[in-house]
Amino acid sequence: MRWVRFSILLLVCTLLNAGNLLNSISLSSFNIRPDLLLVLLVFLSINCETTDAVIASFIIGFAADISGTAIGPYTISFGLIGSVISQMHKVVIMKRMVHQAAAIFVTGIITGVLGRFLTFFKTGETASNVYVVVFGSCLYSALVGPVIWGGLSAISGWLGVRKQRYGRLAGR
Amino acid sequence: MSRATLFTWLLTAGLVLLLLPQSVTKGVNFLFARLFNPVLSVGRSTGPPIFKPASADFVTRAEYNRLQAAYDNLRAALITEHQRYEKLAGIRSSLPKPGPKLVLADVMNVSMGGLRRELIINKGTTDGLKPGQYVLGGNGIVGTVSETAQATARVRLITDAGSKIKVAIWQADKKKYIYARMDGEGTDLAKMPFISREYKIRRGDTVYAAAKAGFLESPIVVGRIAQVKPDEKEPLLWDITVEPVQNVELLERVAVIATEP
Repeated sequence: MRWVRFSILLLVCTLLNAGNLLNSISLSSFNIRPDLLLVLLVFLSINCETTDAVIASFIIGFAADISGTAIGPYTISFGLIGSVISQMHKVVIMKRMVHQAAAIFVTGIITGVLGRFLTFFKTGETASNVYVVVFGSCLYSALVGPVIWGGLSAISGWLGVRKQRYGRLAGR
Repeated sequence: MSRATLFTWLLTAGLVLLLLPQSVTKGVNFLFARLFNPVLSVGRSTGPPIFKPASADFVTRAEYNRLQAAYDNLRAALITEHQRYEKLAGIRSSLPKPGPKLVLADVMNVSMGGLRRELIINKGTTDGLKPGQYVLGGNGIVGTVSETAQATARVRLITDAGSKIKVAIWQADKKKYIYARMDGEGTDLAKMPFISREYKIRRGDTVYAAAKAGFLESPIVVGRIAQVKPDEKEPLLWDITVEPVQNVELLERVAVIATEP
C-alpha cells in the first residue's frame, strides 16, 4: 500500500461523505446517500494484504469519526469488521458485482448498527428512524458500490494494492 | 510486529478514543469542520430566484411566511406579557428586566445527510454559547445548540432525528397552551407524539417552542401543523406532523438566544 496516496483518496472520500455534494444524488426525504467510506473499507479489506487492510480499516473508521460527531465509535466498528473481512479475503471471492454488493450491504448493516450503538454509549444521544436510515444507506451503497469498486480497481495500481487473483492460482 | 499485536494496539487505541469524554474529543470534529468548511459547503442549496410581485399589494410566499411568523411571535409575546401582568398587577419591579442577549452568528455549513440535520456556526463559548440555547433563523426557532467549542458551535435543527424540544400550541377557545414534545424525524418534518384527540388541533395551527426558564422567556414560533390524523396504533391520540417555519438550507445568519438563567 502506498500510504500517502491512500491518505489523499481517503481525504477525498471523507470530504464527499461529510459534505453536501452527495445530496444531489440523495434519495427520499431522509436524504439517504451512498457511504463512500464503507465501499472503500470493503474494497481495501478484500484486496489488500492483511496487515495493510487492518491498518487501513482503523484509519478509515477514524476518518468517519472525525467527519461525524463523536470520536471512537466508527474507529472500532470499521476497524473490527474490516479486520474480520481481511481474514476472510482468501476464501471469499468478490469477482461478481452481486457478491461485492452483498459484502457492502452486510458490512454496512453490521458497522452501522455497531457504530450507532457505540455512539449512544459515548454521547447518550438517541435518534428517530436510525435503522431506516442505516438500512437505506447500506442498500444504496450496495447498489452503487460495484460501480465505485470498478473505479477503485482501476486505480488499485496507483494505490499500491495488488488486485486479487481468482481461480486455482489464487493464494500462491 | 505480528498482525495480532498490531490489531490489539489499534483496537486499544480505538477503545481509548471511545472512552475519552465527548468534551475532550469534540474539538477534533470542530477542527475538521472549520478546516474543510469551504469544501464541505460545496453543493449547499442557495436562495431561489428573486420573484418580483405584480403589484405592491402582493408579497412573495417567503415574505408572507416571514410576516406571519413575526405576527405569531408578537401574539405569543403579548399573551405571555398578559399572563405576567395578571400575576404582577399592582407590583412594581424595582429594576427593569433585561431582555435576552442575542448572539448573531454566520452559518458556516449546513449538514443534511442521513440522520444529521445541523448547522455549524462561527460563534462558541467565548460568546456565551452553551448547549440547550435556542437558535433563531428568520423569525422562528430553527434548532438548539447541541455542542460548543471556543469559536464554533453545532446547532441541532428541530428536524434532526435526535432533536426533542418542548412545544406549545395555542388553543384560542380555551385561551391556554397545550404543551407537548416535538421530535425531529430526520427528514424535513417533525412529529408531535402523545397528544390526546380531545384537543382540537387543525392543519395550519402555529407551533411554538415553549418558554423555558433560563433559555426562552416567551414562546417563539417553530413551525406549523402540516398534517393531523388519528394515530393508527393509538386511536385515542393524534398523529401530528409539523413543518418548520424556516427553510434552514437558505440561512446565512442566525441568532442564538443567550439568556442567562
